[in-house]
Amino acid sequence: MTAPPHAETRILIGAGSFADATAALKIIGRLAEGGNVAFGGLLIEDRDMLNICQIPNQRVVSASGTLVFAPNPAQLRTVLEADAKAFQRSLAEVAGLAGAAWSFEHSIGELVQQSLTASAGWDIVVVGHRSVHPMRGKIISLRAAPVADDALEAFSDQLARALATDHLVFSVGEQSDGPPQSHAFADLGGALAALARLNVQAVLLDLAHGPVRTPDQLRQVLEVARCPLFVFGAAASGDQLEHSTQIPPSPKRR
Amino acid sequence: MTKKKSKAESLPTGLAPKVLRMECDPADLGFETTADLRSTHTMIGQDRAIDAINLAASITHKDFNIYVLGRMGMGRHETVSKLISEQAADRPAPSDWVYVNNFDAPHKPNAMQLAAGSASLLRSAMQDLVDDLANEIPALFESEEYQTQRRATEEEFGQRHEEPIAEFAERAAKEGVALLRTPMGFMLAAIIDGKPIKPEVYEALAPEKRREIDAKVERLQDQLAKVLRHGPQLEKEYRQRIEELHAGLAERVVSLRVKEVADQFKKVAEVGIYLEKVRQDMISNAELFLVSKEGTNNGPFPEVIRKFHLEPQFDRYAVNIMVSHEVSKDVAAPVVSEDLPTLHHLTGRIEHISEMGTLVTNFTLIKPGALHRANGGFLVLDAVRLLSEPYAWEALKRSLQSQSISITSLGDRLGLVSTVSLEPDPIPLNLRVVLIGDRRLHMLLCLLDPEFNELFKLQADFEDDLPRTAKNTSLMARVVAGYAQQENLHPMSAAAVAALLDQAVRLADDSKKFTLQLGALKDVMREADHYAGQAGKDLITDADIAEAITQADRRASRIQERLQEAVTRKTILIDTAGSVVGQVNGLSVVGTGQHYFGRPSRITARVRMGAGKVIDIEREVELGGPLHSKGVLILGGFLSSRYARDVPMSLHASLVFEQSYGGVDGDSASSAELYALLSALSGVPIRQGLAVTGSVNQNGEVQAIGGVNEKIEGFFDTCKARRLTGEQGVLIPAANVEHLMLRHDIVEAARAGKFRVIAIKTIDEGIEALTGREAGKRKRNGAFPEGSINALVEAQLRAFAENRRRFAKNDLAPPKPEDMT
Repeated sequence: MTAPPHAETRILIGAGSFADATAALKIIGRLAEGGNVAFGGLLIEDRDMLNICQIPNQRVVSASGTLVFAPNPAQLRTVLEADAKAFQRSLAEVAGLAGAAWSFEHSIGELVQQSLTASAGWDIVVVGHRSVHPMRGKIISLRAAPVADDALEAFSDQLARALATDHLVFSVGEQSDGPPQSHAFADLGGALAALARLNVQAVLLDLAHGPVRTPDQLRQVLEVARCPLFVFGAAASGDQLEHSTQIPPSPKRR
Repeated sequence: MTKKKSKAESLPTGLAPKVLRMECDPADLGFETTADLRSTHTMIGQDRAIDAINLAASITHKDFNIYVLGRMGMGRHETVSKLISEQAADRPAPSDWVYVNNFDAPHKPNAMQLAAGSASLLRSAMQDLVDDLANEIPALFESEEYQTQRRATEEEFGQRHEEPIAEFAERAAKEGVALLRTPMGFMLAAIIDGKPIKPEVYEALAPEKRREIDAKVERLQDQLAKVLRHGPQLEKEYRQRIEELHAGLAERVVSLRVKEVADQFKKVAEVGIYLEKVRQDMISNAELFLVSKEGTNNGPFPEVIRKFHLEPQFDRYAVNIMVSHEVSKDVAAPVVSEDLPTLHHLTGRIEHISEMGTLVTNFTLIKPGALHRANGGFLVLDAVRLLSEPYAWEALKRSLQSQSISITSLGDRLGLVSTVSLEPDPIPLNLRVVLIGDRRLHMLLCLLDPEFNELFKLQADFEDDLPRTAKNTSLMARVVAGYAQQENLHPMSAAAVAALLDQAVRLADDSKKFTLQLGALKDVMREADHYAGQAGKDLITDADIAEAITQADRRASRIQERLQEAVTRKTILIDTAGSVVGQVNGLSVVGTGQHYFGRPSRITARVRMGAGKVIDIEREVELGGPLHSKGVLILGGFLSSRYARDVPMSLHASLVFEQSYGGVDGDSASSAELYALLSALSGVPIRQGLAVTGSVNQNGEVQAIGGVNEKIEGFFDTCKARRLTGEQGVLIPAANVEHLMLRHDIVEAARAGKFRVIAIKTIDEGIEALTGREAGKRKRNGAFPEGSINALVEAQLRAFAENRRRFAKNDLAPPKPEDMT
């Protein structure tokens, strides 16, 4: 996916459905007011989801708690096409209000993997997740101690102000003198356990700085946070991810 | 016998010139100019009407509304206004009335009664209240205190939402089940080899294993559904908690500000109740004040002085003043005169505004009507205008009957408009209505509208004229002087006042009365003042008055002159000299708007034997009105009762107004028609220099008619255009002598013996004057004197009867000459 030229902050939203993209779009909309930004939208049809719908007697639990039969492939195709249109329309509206350029694409695959794959040329990749209630949650920035990621922190603060909510820093690794609202965790597992029980509106992290570095870790964060993830450094992580099992990461990257 | 005959042959002398115009003598007025005179602005000659108006103005019982009836120009409006204003000045100012929002049912706004002058205070207080709260409430909600409380609430409910889901996710993970998101919701799938199970793997499993997976997934689905179903309840609780938080915060500042307003209106319980509702509504709708702050203008004025109360969302707290009375020393009950009494102008209206293509309204769009403004006082309306406006009369009656003002839209009533509307509380009505109209309308209302007499129990009937006594002459002079002063006219000389009073007599059509159409006299005065001013005089003289009257007549006399010209050129045939059998000059009055003039008409009669029928040609062709027909039928009665009573009436006569192409009505020409008939029967010619007016009864008595002056003047003008011979004149009923107020030139002609006005009492007197032959009285032997008109008429009627008898015997031979007496 090609990034628009001359955009100052380039944000790509990847989501498996329009419901998952909505929460991210709302946040982006608030953030984009007055900023020089460009947007990309990527609707990813999850293969697992498509497969499981074909299992006999498979049910779907709606957001209101009702049980319905899973759609057949044809129904699912129709729903996904409608979702793609809605996603594209909402993206255009948000971009229009901000006077920003935008583009939209449709792909098939696993959500996190596809989002990261498409991240080349984008400053931020937002992995969408639907919100199940209207209560404003916190903004969590997840960072690896003792690395001070000023850009991530500044963006997190800006986002918290725009959403009129609190910003908490989850620091993973060695204890450090973080800001007053920071929480220190010995490892990522501890941070994720805490995150799972928090009302969170968005989680921000930098793949280049850790503690989350791999797609699996990113999936775990998404599952426990149940909110959009703002992923920095995804474009740069491509090489690292590709070679991480063969070549140790560069010391300066750590 | 010869001596009598000679007397009858000569033309009667006629009335003395001084009788023809009984002028007012300037010397009797007792002043030189009106500047010397103490003027008066009081109404004269209208005591009856004034008493009625005063009663209507002072009586407190309901339904004593009043209808003021009389002709135009009588000063009805002026009198009503003056008398009612005097009464109103002694009454206290009535209450103020406002409409406020009904928070429980906004389509039924509440009416509220306030002490005079309080409405505007309440409105200002409410506007200040809104402005203050629109600044204070947003500040309160921006405070750290509020934000902290709100965040705490959100956190609490967020946690309550998240924890069950997190627990479920952990449980599912432990049991090896993945939670997947689909566009329609969540889906659960067993995990095999670290990945959600694929269909082909599922199908390859042993049935027991599949059942085990299915049961696990089904159980977890139910649990997830239960968790998610709990969400809406939590959200509801969250909203309630936030509302309570808002209300708690807003309550403090709202209650404080509302109390400040309530303290100003402690004495009015109704305001207290209203303010309590306002307080509750403001607390529960505190977000209105937050929204208003968001729309901050970027104008040059600081935010703190922004007029928030002007913004539409705060209309719900507005005070719509229906009527307000300023409290001052000159406070009085209102006297309202509505010149355009439409339904909406009377009862008020509910306006609408267009919002997104839809017509909407609210209580601030209720507009007051004349009934609101006049409530507690007097409302003066013109009856004709009121009755010509659709539904206005009905609305007025309904309001008076119910003693309340209900606002109904004409569109709603006719079912023409289908949009949201309001049902405002009716406002109690305590009002005296004064209708000003003419007598005909009053009569029609009495006859046709049974409710009229119930609601308008009083009538003020304005007199048309005033007896011409010395005292009244003096009073009229003072009224004239007062008017000259009031209108800044030049002073009038005594001669001018006398001339004006003469005109008042002429307008009254009665030399014993003055007209009370003071408007017409004022018009003459103003025009005379103009002429006096043009001539550079500082005094209005009798010449100016005469000029004003002459010019007014001239302006209106185009048709009169054309008719006169037609007579002069013999297009219309009128003889003013010589004698003709069966032909007489009748007189009629023609009206062109406000101008009336007399004109002669040739009336002819033709007779022959018949079955006793007098044919009125005008009636046959439907040009004669019922009164004219009545007059002709009376002639038949007169003839049959006076002549040849012992034989059947065997006359066939026809009567016609020659060259009359319009309608003829009235019986004032009945005597003229009788003269023409008598002439035709007797064969004695009628003097054409004379014209006749007067009605006749079956006894042969000549009765009074209207427009006598115009009729005489009309014939005089015709004679004058031909040449005055001295043998010309007009026969008028003796009863009309008192009505004479003829022009100066006719009086002068009479004085010079060139024209005469002859007053007669009976047909006999008239026929003698017209034919110069004795009418003849029936003698003891039952016969009229030989050669007299009556004898000739009777003989002719007997001859007709005899001929008819012969025809009845089938004797077709012509009558012998001796039978033709």
